[in-house]
Amino acid sequence: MAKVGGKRPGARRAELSPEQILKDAEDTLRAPLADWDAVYFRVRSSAIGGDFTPERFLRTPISTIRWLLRQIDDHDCARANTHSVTAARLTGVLIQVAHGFSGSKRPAPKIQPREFLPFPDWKPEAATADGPDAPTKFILSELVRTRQVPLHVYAALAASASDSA
Amino acid sequence: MSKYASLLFSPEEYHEIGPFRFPVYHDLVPGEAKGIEAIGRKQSKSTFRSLKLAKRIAQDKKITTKEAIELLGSSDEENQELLYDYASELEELQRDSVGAVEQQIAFVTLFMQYRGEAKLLGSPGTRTKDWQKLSDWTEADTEAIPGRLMEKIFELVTWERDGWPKSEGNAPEPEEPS
Repeated sequence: MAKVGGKRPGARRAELSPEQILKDAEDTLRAPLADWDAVYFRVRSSAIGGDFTPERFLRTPISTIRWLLRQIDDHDCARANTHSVTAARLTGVLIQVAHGFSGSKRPAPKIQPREFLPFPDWKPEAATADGPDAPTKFILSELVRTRQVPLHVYAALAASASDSA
Repeated sequence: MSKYASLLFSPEEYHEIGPFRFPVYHDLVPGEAKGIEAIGRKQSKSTFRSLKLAKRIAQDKKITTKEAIELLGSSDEENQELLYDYASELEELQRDSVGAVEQQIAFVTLFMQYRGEAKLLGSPGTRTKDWQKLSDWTEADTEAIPGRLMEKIFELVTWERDGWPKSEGNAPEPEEPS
């Protein structure tokens, strides 16, 4: 049989001490079984899993299922946040009004509606990192290289690209 | 999932072995993972029990565990006599153990069920044009295919599970859909 690039339990076993093999076996037995039924239920009950049959699920690569689960989580967080925007804004107004009635002489607290969303710190998994994306950087560097824009204009453009990202 | 979603998730690469072809994912599918996990647990259980027995023998015979393991594996008549005391445990171990061939058959059967495709026989002497999935493939079917073919399929299972050999010049790891 050809050599494969990875973990072959049989090959590794020859080098291990009996105690280590015993521990490995014990660990394997103690590890919980992957709950594929729960994973299937999660995909099926999501907005995109309406006609994802068990047959199709069992034949889908695990990496694709992991990607699907990340997309479903993203979608659920976005939906929960979107549905809560009005409530979050209303909460902000209520706090401002309550502060007004309290008679406090301190300035009214600054309320960010985001703080009252179910997932305030959530960012989509697929969100790009801060900073201009690769095509923008490429175009800007080309403009500078061909001396079509002066350096200070490049700096200003790069800064505004970062801000918008 | 819309009916067109299959276009996004359909495999782009196939590996052909004899009359069969298999989509290449560089990964397992849940159906295979489930079965392989079950076989792995059965094997671990067997290893666990055999090493426990070896430890017991080592304590009883005042030898090291390593020597006890060698004793369990040896076919020396002198050593065999020592093991008569543990005949019932050994019989139980033998019954529950998963042999290499048994494991190979189980893996290949799973792979055929969840990935295997073939052009089945249509009218006498001809094969159908379309590749058809072999969901109803059984262990008996695996046992009926030639050993060389089974070994090649088993090799493909290990490649998909552990990674493809680099020397074969295979395509790099596929990217996740975006």
